[in-house]
Amino acid sequence: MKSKKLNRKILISLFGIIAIFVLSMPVLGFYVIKKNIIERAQAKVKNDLNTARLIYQDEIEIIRDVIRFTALRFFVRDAISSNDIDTLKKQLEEIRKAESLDVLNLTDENGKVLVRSRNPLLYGDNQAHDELLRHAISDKKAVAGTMIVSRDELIKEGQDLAERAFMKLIPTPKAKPTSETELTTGMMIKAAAPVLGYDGSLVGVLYGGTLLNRNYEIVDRVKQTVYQKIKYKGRDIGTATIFQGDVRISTNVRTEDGSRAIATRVSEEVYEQVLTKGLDWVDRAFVVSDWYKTAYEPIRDINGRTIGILYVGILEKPFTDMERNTFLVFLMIVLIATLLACVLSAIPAGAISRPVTNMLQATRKISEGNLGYKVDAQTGIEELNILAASFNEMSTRLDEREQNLKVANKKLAELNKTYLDLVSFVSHELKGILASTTANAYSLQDGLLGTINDEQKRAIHSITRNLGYLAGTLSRFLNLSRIEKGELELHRTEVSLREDVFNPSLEAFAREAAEKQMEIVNNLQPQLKAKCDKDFMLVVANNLVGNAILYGFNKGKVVLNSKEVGEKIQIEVYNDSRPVTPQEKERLFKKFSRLDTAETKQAKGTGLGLFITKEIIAKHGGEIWIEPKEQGNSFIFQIEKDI
Amino acid sequence: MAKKKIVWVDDDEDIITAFQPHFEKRGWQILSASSAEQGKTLIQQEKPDLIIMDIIMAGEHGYAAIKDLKNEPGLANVPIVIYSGVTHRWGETTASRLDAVRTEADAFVDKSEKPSVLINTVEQQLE
Repeated sequence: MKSKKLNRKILISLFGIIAIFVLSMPVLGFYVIKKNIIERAQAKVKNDLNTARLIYQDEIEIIRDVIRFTALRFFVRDAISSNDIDTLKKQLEEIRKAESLDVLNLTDENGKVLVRSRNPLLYGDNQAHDELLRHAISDKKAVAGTMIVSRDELIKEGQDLAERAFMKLIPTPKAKPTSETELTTGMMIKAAAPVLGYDGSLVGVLYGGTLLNRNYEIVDRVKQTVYQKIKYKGRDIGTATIFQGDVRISTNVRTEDGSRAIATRVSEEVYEQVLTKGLDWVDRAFVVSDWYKTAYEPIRDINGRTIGILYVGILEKPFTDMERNTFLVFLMIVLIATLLACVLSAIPAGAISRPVTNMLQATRKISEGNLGYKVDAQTGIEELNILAASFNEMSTRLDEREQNLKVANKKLAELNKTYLDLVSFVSHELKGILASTTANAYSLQDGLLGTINDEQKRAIHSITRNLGYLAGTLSRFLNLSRIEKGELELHRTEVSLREDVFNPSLEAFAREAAEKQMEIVNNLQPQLKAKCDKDFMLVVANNLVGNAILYGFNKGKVVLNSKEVGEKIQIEVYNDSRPVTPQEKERLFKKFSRLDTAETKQAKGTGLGLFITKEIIAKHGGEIWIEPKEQGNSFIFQIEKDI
Repeated sequence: MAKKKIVWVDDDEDIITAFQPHFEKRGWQILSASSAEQGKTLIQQEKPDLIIMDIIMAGEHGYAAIKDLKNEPGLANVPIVIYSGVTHRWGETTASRLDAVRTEADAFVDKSEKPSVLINTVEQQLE
């Protein structure tokens, strides 16, 4: 995974959370607003429809009561019994006008019209076919309801009434297709009441009603009651309509030109639901020219047949506008809150990441050697404080240890220096004494200070041999201590291995070789050169040549051979001697190990020479080994030429 | 063949005495000096064929003396053999100073070596 900076990572996480909120809030807001505004609007319309129905129902009852109470009046009964038609005509016409009825007629007990108050010239026709009248006659009770009235009947009541009902249908989008082009019938709220004689017998029927077509009283009352005069952008917010069938016959829905939208028709959808199925319709609907939240319910005649529709609607625009505005405000709040959240989230991100970054820097400081570096342990985050405290503790400990180490190292260095000075002094002093003693002994042995007898010679010989051993031992121990202290540093120069190393070594041991009557064969190539430490190579040569002479057979051969093997020089020091066994071979180069043989017993040794030799050769990037031969042994080593 | 003249500077006179017979046997004359200062004066006077120089001495050390001698125009060609008990790398200061001076000297023989090693070295340097 690609690693990011902590700060950025925390911020991204926080922004992610914020983003989820930001994205979910509008969805939630949209849902809540819709639920609260739109659905409430819809619910309100449903309630408004109930109010409208009550008003409509009220209108029916008012008419019924007018008819009922008029039928109970004495003059009606008296005039019928005395056949005083003129009085009836006069009185009824007055009542019709006073009660704003379109029709107020009186029939005899069989339904034959006695008085037609609006059109007094026409009478005598039988209205017993009228449902209401039939009910009033048979039940002797007042009845009322909404009825469809035919054109003929309307004309009977007055040409003007027929004309008020007449409408040329206006083509309406979404309406159910129809072949009809005009509406000739009318819809009336009608009531009928029996007129009873003093003996309780039926003497006549009084009936009347109001034509709803182009009568705006009810719809305007609905509007007035439910919506007062609230307008939205110049438009009435609330509307009410009465349909005859699917045609608007009374409405306060306005067309574009501001006139009442009568003669237009209901949409097919509503038609099917309300007129065909006789059910309510509550939904948004496109009414004439605007979207409304609407409710429709059927208007039924007294037989329960659906003959029209009662409608109320609230202009949808105020609600959608409110919805939109609320949503915009909501979005603004969310947006501001988001911005604030983003800005504020940087604070905890910083609070977390800053101490971590500081600690990171602190670890870098410590790794750079600035031990004891501290971080702030007051970050406001408990876990980070604990971490910081532990870190500081660690830092302090590290620093302490470092200081202790420095002190210890200083002490060690001082001790070492003292030791080295001591060794230097001792070696210098001892070597000086050894050198002069040895030189003196050789002077005696060689007869430089006068002739000595054989016995004296042997004694002196022993002295010189032991002094030589002492000197060798001393230098080996010094070399060993250098190796063990890791001071074996090479000072490489170009060295001729024959001239500078092995010849001096052979010369140094010439006396011993002569004493053992050995034959020395030096086959080393004169041009053999290596970049090596001359002093150390002398130690090697002295060890190998010394061993070869010391442990070789009397009258034996010592042979030096050389060759180049790739980038390495190989030198072989052979002597005639007893070949070493495999077990001996293993021990040969180990520290303080000496072979327990007759030859080695005769000669003294520290068991250090070959160990030191091996270490020096290893330092020169080479190796040394022994190869037992038929009549002797070969010590062979290789070192890098490095030239 | 004229006798070879060798100036030997060492504060340990025993060592010079001990080698006396060996050097005389080979026809070499030893002129001894027990300090670096004395040695330098002697060398100026005698113009020897070879100089043997100790390193650690009371007074001036052999390091400085060798440098001085090698810088002396008339003496630059006179071979100098260091004969010292100081092995070449004891301690930091000794090691670096010794290394420096060894490059100026012509040969180095450790005092733990056999007398013959010194004698052979001197013989070589005189040739």
